[in-house]
Amino acid sequence: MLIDFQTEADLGPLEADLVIVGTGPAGLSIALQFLNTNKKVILLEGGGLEFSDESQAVYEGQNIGVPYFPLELARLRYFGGSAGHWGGWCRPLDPADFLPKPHVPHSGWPIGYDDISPYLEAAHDILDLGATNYDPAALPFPQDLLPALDEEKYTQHSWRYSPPTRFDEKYLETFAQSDNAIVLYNANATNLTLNDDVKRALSVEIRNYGDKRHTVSGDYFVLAMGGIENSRFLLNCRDQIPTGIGNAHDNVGRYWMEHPQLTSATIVTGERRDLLIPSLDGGQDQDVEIRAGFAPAVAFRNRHEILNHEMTITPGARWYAAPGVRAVLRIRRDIMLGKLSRLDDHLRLLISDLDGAVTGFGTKLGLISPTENVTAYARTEQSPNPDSRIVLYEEKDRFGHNRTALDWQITELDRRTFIVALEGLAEELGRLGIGRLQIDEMLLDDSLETLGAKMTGGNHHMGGTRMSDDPKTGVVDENCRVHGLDNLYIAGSSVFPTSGYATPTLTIVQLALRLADHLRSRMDHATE
Amino acid sequence: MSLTRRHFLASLSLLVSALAVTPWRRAAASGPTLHRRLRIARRAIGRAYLAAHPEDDDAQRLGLALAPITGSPDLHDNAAISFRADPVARAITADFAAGRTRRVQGWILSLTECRLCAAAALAA
Repeated sequence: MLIDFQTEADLGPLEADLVIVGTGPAGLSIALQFLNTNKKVILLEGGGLEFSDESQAVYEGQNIGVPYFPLELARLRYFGGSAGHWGGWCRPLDPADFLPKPHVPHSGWPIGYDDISPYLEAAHDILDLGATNYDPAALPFPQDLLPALDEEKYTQHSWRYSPPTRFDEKYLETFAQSDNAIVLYNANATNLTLNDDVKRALSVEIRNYGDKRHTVSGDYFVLAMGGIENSRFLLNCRDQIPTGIGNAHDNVGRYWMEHPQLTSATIVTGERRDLLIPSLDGGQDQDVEIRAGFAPAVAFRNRHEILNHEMTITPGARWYAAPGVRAVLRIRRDIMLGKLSRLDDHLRLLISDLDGAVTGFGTKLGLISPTENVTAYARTEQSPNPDSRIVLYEEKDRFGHNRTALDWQITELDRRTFIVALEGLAEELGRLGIGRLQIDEMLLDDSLETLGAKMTGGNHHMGGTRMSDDPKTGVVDENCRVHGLDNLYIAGSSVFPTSGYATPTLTIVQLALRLADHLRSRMDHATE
Repeated sequence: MSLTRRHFLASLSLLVSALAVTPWRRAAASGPTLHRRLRIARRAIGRAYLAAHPEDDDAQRLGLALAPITGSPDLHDNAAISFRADPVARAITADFAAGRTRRVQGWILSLTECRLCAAAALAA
């Protein structure tokens, strides 16, 4: 059932077995598990059924750390959430991503790969990813072109591409037809009320875009508001706990992570450039697009004390980027315009880069393979860092909540990971005759500021309400339950203690399905 | 800068000469860009390598290091030898496999490549 809180006149008391705040991939994946059951589920969506400026403006905030995307553009605030603009790249985290590493402070999950792998297949169904196969050797890549990498040093993995699944298009009608699940949209959560001893959540206060307010009560509550908003909401709920809910140990908002990424190297290819074809061209596994990438092996990462990391290969500089090509184009332009005053400058430039001119025009004319000159796009795991964090600042949104100031920080370990991982890849490319790799000068500058200014993220918001079995070092426990609260849970990538390099959506859905199982089990035991 | 007829013709003749010797036909036939690039940049890489590794800035020492690979301690022999010659190519592959690499101007090159480039720089 869909209810518009903006226009619905009289709702009466709203009570549910399960109240889910947020209708992105996390919230909807949980709710889907309760469809057609005897449990009443209420989903609260702050936005409407489509994009609106007034809803999106709630996400406005400041970037006060590493330069980052405008926060109001990084997420979508309407039914279906940010699945409305995601790219669809998917792969699960690696088993090693869950393990603590001595060289990575604050690393390690309280759960392991095997705790969420049973949900991989169901998550694939939700995200339209087809078979749960990520092994390049078992996928329809040209097998003779998979490089024989030294497994102690580098591995080749694969990505699978969701169409990408738009949750609003795929699931709106399902929820519209549901008898036991209500999607209440234009319903902005403004507060969470706890019982007197602040051990249990009782209700969520909601507001529409006018003056209407209401209260939604429930037995269990899940915050699935997004990788920034989960933290912001908890920090803003200060009526009963001055530091915010779940923040007894000042962990809410901390350990915020992205996947730092950039075009990090040029590869000039050699005789075996064909071994890059699975990475460049990808393939098709039934209806699902696949693509290969390169990642340093666990042994290599541990030996060199770096984070997880991966590189995809993309066609190189555009044919017209070479100075020699630009010189020819300028000569042509100046001759056509009759301006010959700088002709000899252009000729000198051309003569200094004949190689570039030949390669550029050869590529343009289809005489030279574009694989002769390719680039490595690198994305790295980010080290968990308590100083990389979401804080609030004085400006408030229309509902009176302080807005986000995102203080994204990177560390020397993050920067070093880029370089060491590239050096390892370069050795393998050289050994196999694929080519030689040149690291971008900017990465070799020792300054984190330079790197911060040049890199970007993937719009992957992780951490802020990290999972830990110790309340002193995390916000939620291994079941995503907020420490110290009996019935308040958090879903989404904000619970990630570490990030690996995999895009987060698939893991978000796996964790959501696991949380749904946990909630169902608790509900069943409560009624026995 | 103004362009005189003499300058223009001089530049044009230089361009035509350069185009005549450039290996564009081989490149266009998808010959390895890598070896073309390395050949062109050999001396420049060698100079950068020697600046960072002054211990190799000695023709005799460099010759002794390269002789087991190239068969000759002579600077000019080593400056001219192809990276694709059998023993050299094998040594380069072995370097990469063993992690015997050096970073020169961002390039990750095998030690053998770096030393051959250094020989070219010293022989110039």
